[in-house]
Amino acid sequence: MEQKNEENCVDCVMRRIKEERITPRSKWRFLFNDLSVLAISASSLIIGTLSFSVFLETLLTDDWDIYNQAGRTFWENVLKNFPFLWLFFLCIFIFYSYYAFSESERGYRYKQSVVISLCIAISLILGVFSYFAGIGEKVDNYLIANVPSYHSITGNHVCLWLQPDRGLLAGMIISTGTKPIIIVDFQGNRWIATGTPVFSRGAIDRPGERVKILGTAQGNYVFEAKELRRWSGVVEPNPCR
Amino acid sequence: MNLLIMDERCTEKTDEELVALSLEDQEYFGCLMRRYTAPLGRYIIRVVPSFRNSIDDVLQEVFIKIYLNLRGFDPSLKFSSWAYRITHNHAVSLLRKEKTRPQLVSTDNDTYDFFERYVADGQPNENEIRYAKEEVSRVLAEIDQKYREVLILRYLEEMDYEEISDILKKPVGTIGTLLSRAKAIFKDEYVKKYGTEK
Repeated sequence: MEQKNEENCVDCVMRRIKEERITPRSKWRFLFNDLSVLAISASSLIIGTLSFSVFLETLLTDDWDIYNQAGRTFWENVLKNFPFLWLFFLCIFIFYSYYAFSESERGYRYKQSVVISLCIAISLILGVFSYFAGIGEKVDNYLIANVPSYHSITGNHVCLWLQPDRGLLAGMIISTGTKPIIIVDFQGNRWIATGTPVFSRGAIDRPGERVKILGTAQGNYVFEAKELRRWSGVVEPNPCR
Repeated sequence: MNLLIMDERCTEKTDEELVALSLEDQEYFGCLMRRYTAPLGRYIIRVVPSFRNSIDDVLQEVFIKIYLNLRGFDPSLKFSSWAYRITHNHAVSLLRKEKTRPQLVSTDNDTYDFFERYVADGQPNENEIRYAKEEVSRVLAEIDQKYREVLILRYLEEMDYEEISDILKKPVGTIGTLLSRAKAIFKDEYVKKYGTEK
């Protein structure tokens, strides 16, 4: 480019800067932008962590061993019970966390594989911790109680356990530790649970405890119980409407 | 301020020092502009050749953007990389407006050096040099923008991998991969267009 043209260009820009009183943008603006990007990245990571926590909650509290009894095939059970939605959210938010970080002022310098691996590792590790801290259960319960269509998307295991003719029952213990155990199921029916059931998976014989019961229906709202398991999660009203 | 005096004051200053001084005294920004008008102008013409006739206007916009964002300059970067990044982004936005027409990349001696290093064989005569420049330009226009831009930055602007990484905001490893693919694609396209590799 010719020297004269260069000078013209420089003069034009300097003149424009003076005439239009152009000043450099404030440093705070750049700081705010960069912090916002990092905050978005961190928030996505947190949501990814929560997603994994709920994923574990849903996966590990489902009773994978009773699908046959419930009249389902293995793959039907996987399709209905596996928390695909939470796995999807986990992937989305891990990706978004990586993307936001790579758009930050210095984030682009790091290898993609390293950043993605770190995002996955952080989400999974913190997800496991938050699952054990009960956060996954709290989030799941909150969504059941406040999002009307949540259970229709994630799979409603309440109805699965309200099939007494298949030996599956669930409800709240209302008796005071004497035999037989009296239970009100989640549809409001009162049952007498006979037999000497095994209390497993954290179930306790105590009024107010919610339980799942494996056994055999005897008719007339009598149920011979073989095993009681602790019920986890909120039960919405009219769960099997 | 007298241009001569300003030139003397600027000559021994680094770009980064001039940035800091520009924030206190606008006139120092003129020094930065003088240093970068030619290289940035050349780069813009390479990326968006159709703006050759309005290069002054484009450069004005670029320098105004650089000035506006001066406080956002990260000293861990080279100023040249940062200025090229702003220029690149501006050029890409102009290119998007011109998307319908394939852009012939501006040819010059650097274009021929690239050709000689990677495609040609033997000592060419003047006509061959002229044809080679046109051929390189046509082939570069045909390839995908993400490959074209790394070839231009590496072989025409002679940037190293770190500088290209800072300009395009991609990891150094990705730049290496893009360049390998870009060279292979360039050779394939050249052979497809002009027959056997020379």
